[in-house]
Amino acid sequence: MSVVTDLAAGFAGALTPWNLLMCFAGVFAGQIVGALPGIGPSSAIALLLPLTFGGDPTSAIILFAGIYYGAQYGGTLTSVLISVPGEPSSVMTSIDGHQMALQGRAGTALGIAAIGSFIAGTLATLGLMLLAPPLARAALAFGPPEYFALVVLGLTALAAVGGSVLKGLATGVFGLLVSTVGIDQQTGVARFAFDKIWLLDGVGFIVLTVALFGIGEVLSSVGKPTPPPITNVGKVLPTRAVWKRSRMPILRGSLIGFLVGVLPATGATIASFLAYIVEKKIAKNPEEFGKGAIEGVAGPEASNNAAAGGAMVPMLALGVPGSGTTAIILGALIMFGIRPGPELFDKNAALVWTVIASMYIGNIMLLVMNLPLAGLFAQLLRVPYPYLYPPILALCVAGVYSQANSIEDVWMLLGFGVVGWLMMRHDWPAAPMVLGLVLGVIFENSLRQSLTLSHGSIGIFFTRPISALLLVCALAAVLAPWIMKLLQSSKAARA
Amino acid sequence: MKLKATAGEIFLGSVFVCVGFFWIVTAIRLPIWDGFAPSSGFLPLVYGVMLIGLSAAALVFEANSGNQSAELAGPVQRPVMVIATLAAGAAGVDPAGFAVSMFLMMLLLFSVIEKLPLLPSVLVSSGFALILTLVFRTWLGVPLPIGPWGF
Repeated sequence: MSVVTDLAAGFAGALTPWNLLMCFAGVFAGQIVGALPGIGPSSAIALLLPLTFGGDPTSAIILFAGIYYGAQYGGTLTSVLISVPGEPSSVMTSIDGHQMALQGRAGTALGIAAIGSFIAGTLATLGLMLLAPPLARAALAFGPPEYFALVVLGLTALAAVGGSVLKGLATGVFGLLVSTVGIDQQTGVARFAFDKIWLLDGVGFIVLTVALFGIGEVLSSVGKPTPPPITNVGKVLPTRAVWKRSRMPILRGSLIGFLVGVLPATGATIASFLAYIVEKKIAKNPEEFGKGAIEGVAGPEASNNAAAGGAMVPMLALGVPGSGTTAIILGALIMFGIRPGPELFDKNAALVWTVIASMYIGNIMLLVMNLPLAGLFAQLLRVPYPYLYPPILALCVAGVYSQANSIEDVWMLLGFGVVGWLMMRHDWPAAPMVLGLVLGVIFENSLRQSLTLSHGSIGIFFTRPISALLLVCALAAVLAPWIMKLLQSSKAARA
Repeated sequence: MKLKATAGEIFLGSVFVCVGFFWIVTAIRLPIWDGFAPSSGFLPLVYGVMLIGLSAAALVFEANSGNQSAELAGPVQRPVMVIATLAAGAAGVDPAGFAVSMFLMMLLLFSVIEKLPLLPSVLVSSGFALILTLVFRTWLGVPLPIGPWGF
């Protein structure tokens, strides 16, 4: 009963004209930064932080939370329409979403993404409200061995969902290898930096993502004898058949996203990768994935939005950020003199519940904005490709440059873009490479911490139940395609 | 055994193998182990070995399977021309400024590579260069390079 009264009080606070305006400004700004590569919600919140100093902390947190989950919606637009993921968490959406767009189903992809995001965002807010304290405690059971095993599972499972497991594993390892460029965080040793200062920070995630998916896609498309003609953007509201195929992926994506979001330092990107892997694994027709399967859009989109809600759980309940963006929001709370953690729900109940209520309102605002806008944005695809791709290339350059104001990043964009194009031509999957780069640092740190804890014994990964289970799943993910193939061939031989 | 991997596939796999080899050579100069845990060189060394093994295995597997995906992907001349134009655009960002460099890059792509009419090419190039400058430099405060003309 207390939850209901607290939430009612929260809605009373969130529905004041100023807080409604902040919520709208947040989700609107979030959509814009989400669509622009290179500028993420973290940067937007960091830029706005000084403007909110001295103001009402509740309104400021409503604004920042709106930017955070609004960005998850915005990243979808560019992923689907031009295959340039505005946000890292939209990488998986671009795989099937862009294929749908090329088939004249951009409206459906954007529509189901908006609906899935709304459902997932609402469910995650519900989860945040009801499960914050117990889930946050459970997340603390994840130590370095469990994180190590989770990374192994993520990489192997994603590699295994592609056409060739070997190619998927090779590109995943390439991503891990790229993640070792720069200063080793634990020892301070510069690795593979070749005495270049700009390489000390390593290869930026956005550089690799925009290169592989943006530049790679453009080069691949201009090389085709006849670029794909786009005559129809399709309906935005899903048909009954589309809804039937999408509803379970949305629910599964919501659950995966929320649970992954709750784990500190994982976030929406890993959640969307996992949701895609799960959908492909359990699909009746997995061969449709990569060619425009609606499940490949619905699952990851629901997942990245739910993860944004999930990441708020450890931040509010424990004072441990679940992602880079929530780390900045955490800093903002501290700047306002509010101490996040278990006492927050008692000492600052009004703030917490007003923010939670505003997240329900923000998700409705996003749905109302996105359904009509989805059709409008999808009209972009009617522009002939020769007019479309030069501005896409300029946008990629601007986005990558703006990440660190570095022209060297633009050169890396070009180099990795060529690699991405060759990979597309020869069917080497790009997503495992991106995931390898994302997870490389967590992988290395968790391996070192685990071995230090166990005094050098690798037994620590097999004696802890969660870690052992995750590693068994990883092994199964790699072996399953080969076992299935063997079974099929022996069945065919018997027949 | 009839090998059927395309030249492009072999080139890509060879690039991966060479990168793996380079990583191994560089990693062995770094400290490998420190106390109970791996040091800076350990994982790069492991990744290098794994990349060589997996890339070579993927190539051999592909050669045996006879897949020739690149045959459907079209010729490489146009993508190479786009890469060269993009490189020229990137090279011009610092000396000529972001807006001018991107305008010229887009104009070249529209009018030379795509052979579109000049007037729409100029209009779209200048319009989009202006929008990008407005969004990134003016609204988001990104210090995009300015050319000698002040923009």
